[in-house]
Amino acid sequence: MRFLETLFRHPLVAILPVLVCLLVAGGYQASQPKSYTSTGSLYIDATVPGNSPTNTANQYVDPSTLQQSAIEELLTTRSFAIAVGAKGPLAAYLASHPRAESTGLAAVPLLSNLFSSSKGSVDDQIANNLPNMVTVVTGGPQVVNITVTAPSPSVAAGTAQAVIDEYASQTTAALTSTDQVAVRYYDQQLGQAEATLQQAQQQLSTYLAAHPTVPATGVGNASATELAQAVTLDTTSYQSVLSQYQSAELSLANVASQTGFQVLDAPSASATPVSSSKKLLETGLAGLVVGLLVSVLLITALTAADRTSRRAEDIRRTLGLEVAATIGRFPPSAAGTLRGNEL
Amino acid sequence: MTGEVVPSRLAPLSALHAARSQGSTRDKELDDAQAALQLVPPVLLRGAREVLQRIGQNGHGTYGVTSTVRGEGRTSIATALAIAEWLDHERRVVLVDLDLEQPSLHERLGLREGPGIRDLVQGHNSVEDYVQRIVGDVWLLSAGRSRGDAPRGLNRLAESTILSQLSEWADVAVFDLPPLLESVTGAEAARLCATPILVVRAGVAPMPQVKEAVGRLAAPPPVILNGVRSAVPRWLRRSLGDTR
Repeated sequence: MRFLETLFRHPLVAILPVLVCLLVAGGYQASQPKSYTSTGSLYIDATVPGNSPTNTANQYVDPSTLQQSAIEELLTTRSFAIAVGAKGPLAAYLASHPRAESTGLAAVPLLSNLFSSSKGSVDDQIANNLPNMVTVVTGGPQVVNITVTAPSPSVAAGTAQAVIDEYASQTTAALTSTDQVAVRYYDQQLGQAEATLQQAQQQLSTYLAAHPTVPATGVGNASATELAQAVTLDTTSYQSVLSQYQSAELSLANVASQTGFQVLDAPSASATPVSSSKKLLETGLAGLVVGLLVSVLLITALTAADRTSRRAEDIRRTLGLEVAATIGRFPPSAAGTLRGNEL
Repeated sequence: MTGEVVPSRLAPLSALHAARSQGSTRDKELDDAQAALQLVPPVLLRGAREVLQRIGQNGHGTYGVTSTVRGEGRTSIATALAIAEWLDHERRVVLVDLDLEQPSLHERLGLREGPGIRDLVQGHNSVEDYVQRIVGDVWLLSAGRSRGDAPRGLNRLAESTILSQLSEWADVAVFDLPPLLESVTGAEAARLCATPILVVRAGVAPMPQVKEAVGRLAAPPPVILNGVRSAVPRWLRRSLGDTR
């Protein structure tokens, strides 16, 4: 009740912080540059082995969620961000607009100088800002939407395309590396199988030459039969390795088509800026919450600082005395020749 | 003079009832009662009656109204107590300004500054010669004209027969005492009356100071909480269970 008393006795203390915070929030929002978004959609191919969870604990995770996580992880890496910046128009834009990276508190005019001291190179700016510019969401079990918010339509579309391209590039590079290792491995295996087969064939030929009566199939001769079976076995082995080698080579050749996704909707430049009403509402709400918090703190502090008695309960609690009478306030005009008791 | 102008909220006034019942023979009393009501606002008079009921005095005695600091409403409440005693019980009341450092009672009531207590303690005069009529049978004994040493004046008063003369001459003596913490004579003056009443004005004196003031009195005093007004709207207080 004392808190409420203080609140209603000092309404300005309650209202002013809220008004100031709302004004600051409005000013902040007004000082923000226009922003544009561009969205590209990827279709995730669930049949590609890389898009199926191998961990049984994650067996119910959608392919799109796996890809979303992968893209978000990559966005946090400096090399990926810089590559996106270089591939798209972002690096060039930041180089030509040094203050364009002002976001958050740095956008408040009075604070911009404070924050400007922390500016780094264009690469640093890209690495710092790209994760905040890109939003990756799943549009369903097999669709991932990549949205980029940027200060110009072309930068938004270009950067969105660069994100997709760089992601494809990274995925391709990873697959190429794997396929190259496989090709090298099977090439080596193929060489060994070929040598083994040739050796078996040589032994059989030598034996048949030494024993002309023995038929080429080795029927009726145990040694010839054994040698012929070894040749058959090595041939099978060789063909198996050859098949795997060819498969690996094919995979390497077609690596670009095995990324596990394809671009469903390419990012396009939108001439309409992002509606500011939603942002204004969000910033306003944030200002309101902060203002209310400040008001509550101020009123609480005032309540704690007020050590005077306001109610009979205060006298009873502090002094242990009963109040014999309580006299309400009356204005001087009602007091006859006496003074009023209004403060 | 008729009774129609008397505010109905102050109906239980024995003087007015008596005047009405006896017709024009008591017109003077009716005039006095109305003049008394002009002096004190209804809310103050209600508070004074409430505290008199709580104290439970039976017609004779001395009350002193004191406070922690100045500006808490001692003088107004002392006046209201005096008026209530006369209006409700037709007692002869003398209002004594014991704030010898900064007397103000005479100014508030539009009366002369003196002669008063300071002059009385100088010689061997009768109290009756120094009191000024406020209204009806309510009288003022002001602090007096001279501005000497207040503690010394108070000591002389304690040693003199003035207080016993007052008790004999009036039914009730109401002392307007100096504040307990802002006056050197506060505690000493409070000891001169049988029942010191402490006025605490809402939002003025910090509670630790009030506590210190109470500690300077010989016994825990009845407390009047003055100037109370909740800033919280009534509907909100009611919804929170505060029915006052």
